[in-house]
Amino acid sequence: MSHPAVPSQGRAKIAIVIPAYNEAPVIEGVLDRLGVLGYHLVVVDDGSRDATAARARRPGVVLVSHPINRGQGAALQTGITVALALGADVIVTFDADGQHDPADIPALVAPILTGECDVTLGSRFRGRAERMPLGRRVMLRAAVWFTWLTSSLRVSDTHNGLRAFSRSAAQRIRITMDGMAHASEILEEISALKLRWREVPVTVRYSDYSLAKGQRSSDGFRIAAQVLIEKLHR
Amino acid sequence: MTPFQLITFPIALAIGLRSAFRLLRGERHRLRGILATLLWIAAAITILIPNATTEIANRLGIGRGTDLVTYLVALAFLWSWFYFHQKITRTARHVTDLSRALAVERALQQYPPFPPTPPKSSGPDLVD
Repeated sequence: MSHPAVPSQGRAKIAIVIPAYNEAPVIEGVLDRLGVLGYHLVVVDDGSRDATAARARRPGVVLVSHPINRGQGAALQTGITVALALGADVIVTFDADGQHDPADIPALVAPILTGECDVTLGSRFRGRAERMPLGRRVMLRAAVWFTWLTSSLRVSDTHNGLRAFSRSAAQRIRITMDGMAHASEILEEISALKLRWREVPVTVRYSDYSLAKGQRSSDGFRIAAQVLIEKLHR
Repeated sequence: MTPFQLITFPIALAIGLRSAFRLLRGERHRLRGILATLLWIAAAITILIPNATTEIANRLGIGRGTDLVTYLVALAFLWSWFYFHQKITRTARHVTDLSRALAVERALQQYPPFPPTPPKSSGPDLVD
């Protein structure tokens, strides 16, 4: 299987890791928008029961398939592992539901390429959130307060799937929480490993599709409970 | 002795003794074995001497024996919930590790490393 000829941004190999579960209706559009930018694309099909894998299979895309559904956190770690093994210098995580804007990637990657940061975190609250429902906004604000209480990171957006890691940061961070709580775990890892991080303004566009597929407000409580229980386990 | 005591006391005692026997033979995890043995022996004693729990409860300042039993059941429930949650989480992680190992192995067999990038085109280089 071939790769895109010229990754963007100088000589760095930038891999975009896209965890996907039952994203057949939108995955092609997401890959089309990313493909023209020349990044290395790693799609992790997380045991989808629809045509996600078939639609993601194309030249220039590394398709990794979980035999069974394990959750977004698990898919991200798998994609990061593969991207590292294939030699990526910078790894960007990107949601498959089409709510992220590929145009934000250069700004996200730049501080890592210049060595200013180990990790950059996309923030819709420093950038733009289009069509975000009030319930979602309240839940995400509550998540920010929760993160402030449970870790030392003062972030403005805790559950944004658009972020970038340097190779060394990606090698050190271990995502063990399979489900949606992985976003909190990543922040805790950044804090525990004392990685240099920065938030970058990004745009998140909510669509009917992403709202239907995304987290419900009640998921916030479940994620908070998982994080607290995980702290008890440690 | 009441019919209830006649039926349940020998059962609790037998399970407790079996647990102790397995513990002595090294067939059980030590801490879990000790806890299980103590639990069943305590159950046998309280069945045989119902006032024992009231006696202990009074000494602990709890009051009624049934309150003591309720508290112990609540603690046991919390402990077992936590224990099984931990166990399920560990099993789930093993399943994920296995799924990942399979997925990564297949991908690396199928795809070559990312090709070296041609000399500088545009944008910043990677800082070593």
